[in-house]
Amino acid sequence: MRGYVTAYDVKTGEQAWRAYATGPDEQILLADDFNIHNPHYGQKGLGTGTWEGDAWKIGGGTNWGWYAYDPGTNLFYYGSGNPAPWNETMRPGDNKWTMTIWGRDIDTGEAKFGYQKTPHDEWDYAGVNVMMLSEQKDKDGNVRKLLTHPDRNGIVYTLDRENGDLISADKLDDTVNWVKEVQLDTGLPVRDPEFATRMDHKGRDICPSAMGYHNQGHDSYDPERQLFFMGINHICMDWEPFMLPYRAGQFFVGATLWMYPGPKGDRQAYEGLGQVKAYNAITGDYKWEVMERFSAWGGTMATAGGLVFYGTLDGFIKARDADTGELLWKHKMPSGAIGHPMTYEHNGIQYVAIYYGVGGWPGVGLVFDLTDPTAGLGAVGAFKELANYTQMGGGIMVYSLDGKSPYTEDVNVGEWKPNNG
Amino acid sequence: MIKSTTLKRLLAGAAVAAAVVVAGPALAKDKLRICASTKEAPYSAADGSGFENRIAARLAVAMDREPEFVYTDKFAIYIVGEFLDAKKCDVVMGADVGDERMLTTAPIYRTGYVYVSREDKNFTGASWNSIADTDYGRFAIRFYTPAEVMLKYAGKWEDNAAYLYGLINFKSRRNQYNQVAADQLVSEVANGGADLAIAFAPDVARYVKSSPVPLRMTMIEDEIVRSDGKTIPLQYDQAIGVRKDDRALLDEISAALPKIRGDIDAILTEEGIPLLPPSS
Repeated sequence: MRGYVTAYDVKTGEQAWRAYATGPDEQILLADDFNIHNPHYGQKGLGTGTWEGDAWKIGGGTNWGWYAYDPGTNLFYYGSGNPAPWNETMRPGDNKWTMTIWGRDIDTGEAKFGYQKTPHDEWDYAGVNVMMLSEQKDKDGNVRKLLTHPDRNGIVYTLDRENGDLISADKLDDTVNWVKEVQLDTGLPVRDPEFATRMDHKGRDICPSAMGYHNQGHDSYDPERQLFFMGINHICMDWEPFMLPYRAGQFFVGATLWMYPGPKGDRQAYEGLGQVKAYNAITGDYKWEVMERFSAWGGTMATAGGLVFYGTLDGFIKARDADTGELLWKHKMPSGAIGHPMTYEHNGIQYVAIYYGVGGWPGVGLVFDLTDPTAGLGAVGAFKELANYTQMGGGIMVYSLDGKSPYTEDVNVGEWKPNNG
Repeated sequence: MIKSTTLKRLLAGAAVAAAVVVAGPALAKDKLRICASTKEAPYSAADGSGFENRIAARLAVAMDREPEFVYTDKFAIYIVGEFLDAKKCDVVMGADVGDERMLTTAPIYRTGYVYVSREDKNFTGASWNSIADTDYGRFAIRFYTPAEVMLKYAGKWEDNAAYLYGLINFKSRRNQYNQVAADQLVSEVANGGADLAIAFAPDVARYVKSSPVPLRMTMIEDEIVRSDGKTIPLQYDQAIGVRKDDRALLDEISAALPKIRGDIDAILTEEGIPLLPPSS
C-alpha cells in the first residue's frame, strides 16, 4: 500500500534505516542535496505535494524488483513501482516518488537522486525492472559510470549513476505508442492522449500492455561490444472502463483489459509475443533483433565468448551469436522458462544453468487452468496458445560447454555396488 | 453460469392450496422468472433463504405463477445488464425506485444507511459527519457505497484502507468485482476488529439481530453534501424492477403487491430492517 526499502544489520537483525516511496521528505530519506544536479526532476516536498490530501499514505510505489550496488559510488539502485489505487482519476498529480529510479547511499539510505519515469502512471507500468551497471564513453567521449534500465513503460533509460543525469531514453520498440518521446532536457515523457486510460475513453491497441514491454527479466551487458541484450514482451492491450450502477447509491467503477500480440506479431494465431534485441545505449541503435513466439520473459546472459543465452516460455534454452543474433544452439526443456541463465566454471569446465518451470504472469492461465481471456488482467488471453507448447514443471538444467555429462567418460560413475556379496 | 431452480419447498403451502382448487390434472402455471444471485446474502442466496428470495416466492403465488429462480454465481451488480436485459430472467427484486435501467414498481419499503456499533460503546451519531468527531480508526464498510465517501470526507479513509482491503484479501478490482461479505461487516464490529460498520440497513439487519454481542443500529438521518454542492442520499425507496419494455409484467406485479403487503412487512420485520415511511 506504501512502498519502502529497509536495511537490516545482517548480524543483529536490527533495522538500520527505512525509506518510503511516498510521504514526507524525512520518511523518504532525501539527502540535503537530493537531485542537486537535476533540479528539474523535482526536489523537496513532492512526496506529499504531488498527491491529493492524504492519498500518499496508500499511494503504492512498492519495490518488488531488482537492486544493483556499486561499491565505487556507495550507492544502490532500484525502481519504485506503480502508484495506487490503479484508477488514475482517484489520485490526481504526479504521484511522486512512485515509478522512480533511485540512487541511495547504502549506509544511510539517503537518496542522492531520484528520476520519475512515468509521472501519474495510468497503465500499471511498475518501474521495478533490472538496473544494469556499465562504464562507457558517452557521445562526447567522456567515460561515465552508467545505469541502464529497460522499463515496463517501453522506454530503456540510461542515467549517469553518479549524479542521475539522463543520458538516453529510447523506445524498446518503435511500436511503443503511449509516449511519443522522452525529452532528455526535461526528463518528461510526451504523451499521446489517444493511448491514455481515462474513464471516458476506450483505449485500443495501447502499447505496451500493463505487462510492459519488459517485465522482471534479468538482462545482460557485453562490455566488449557495448551491447545490452534484452528480452522483450511484444504485447499490447485494449482498456475499457465501465461503471456499473447498483442500488442505494452504490456503483462500481472498473476496467476490463484484453491483451494480445503487438503489431509485429500474429494476431490471428496469438503468437509473436516477444523479441530479443541487442542495444547500444550511447547511440540508441539496435544492432540486431529477433522475434520470438512468446515473450522472452526471463532475460538474457551474455558470455565473453560472444554468445547470448536465454530461456523461452515454450521451454527452449537458446544461444545466439552476440554480433549477429544468429541462432546457434537450442535445447528443449521439460517446461517453459521465466528465469534467466547463469554460467559458472567447475574443475576447468564451463557450465550454463537455468531454472525452468512455466509460471508468473504469462503462465497464469496454463498453471491455474483459466480460460476467460480477461482473467489475469488479460494475460490468459494473450498467452492462450502457451498450453499447446509446454506444460507445468519445475527444475534446473545444467549444460556443459564440452558437451560431456559426468557419465560420458565412465558410465559406471555413481553406480551402487553391493559390498556384502 | 445459470442455474434454474424451482423452490418447491418455499411453496409447499401454496401447492396444497392449489391442489384443493384445481381438481383433476394440474394445469401448468406460467412461471415468474426471478433474477437472483447465489452470493448476495442476506438479500439472495442459493438456498432461497435471502429475504428477497422469500418476498419473490410470495409475489409469484400472489400472481398465480410458479416462481423460477434463475440463479447466477455472479454478484447482483451484474444482474440487470447480463441477465435481465439479456432476457434470461424477468424480475429484479432489489432496485431503487426510478432506476433508469428498468421500470420499477411503487416502493415496497424504504430504509437507509446505518451505523453499527457495540452497545457498550454508546455511539449515538446520526449524521454522516458524526464519525469526524470520534477517535475511531477502524471502519467496516462495503466498497463502492456512500460509506466510502463518508470515510474520505471524514479523513478516515487512508489509515483504514489496509484494514479494509484486508477484508477482501487485497484482491484487485480490475477485471473483477470484489466485495466485503455483509455478515463480516457485523462480525468485525462484534469481535472488535472495527469500531463501526457503515452499511445499507438491509445488508446488516439480520446479522445485528442475531449477534451474540449486543449491537446497536443507528439510522443516518441526513444526506452527504459533496464539495461540489451535490448531495448523495443515504435513504432509499426499494422496489421491484422489470425490463423497460415489459410494462405488462410491471402492471401484473403492481396488482399483486397489495395482496402480499402483510407478508412483506412480516419478512422485513423478521429480518430486523429499520423501516422508514416511503417517500413516493
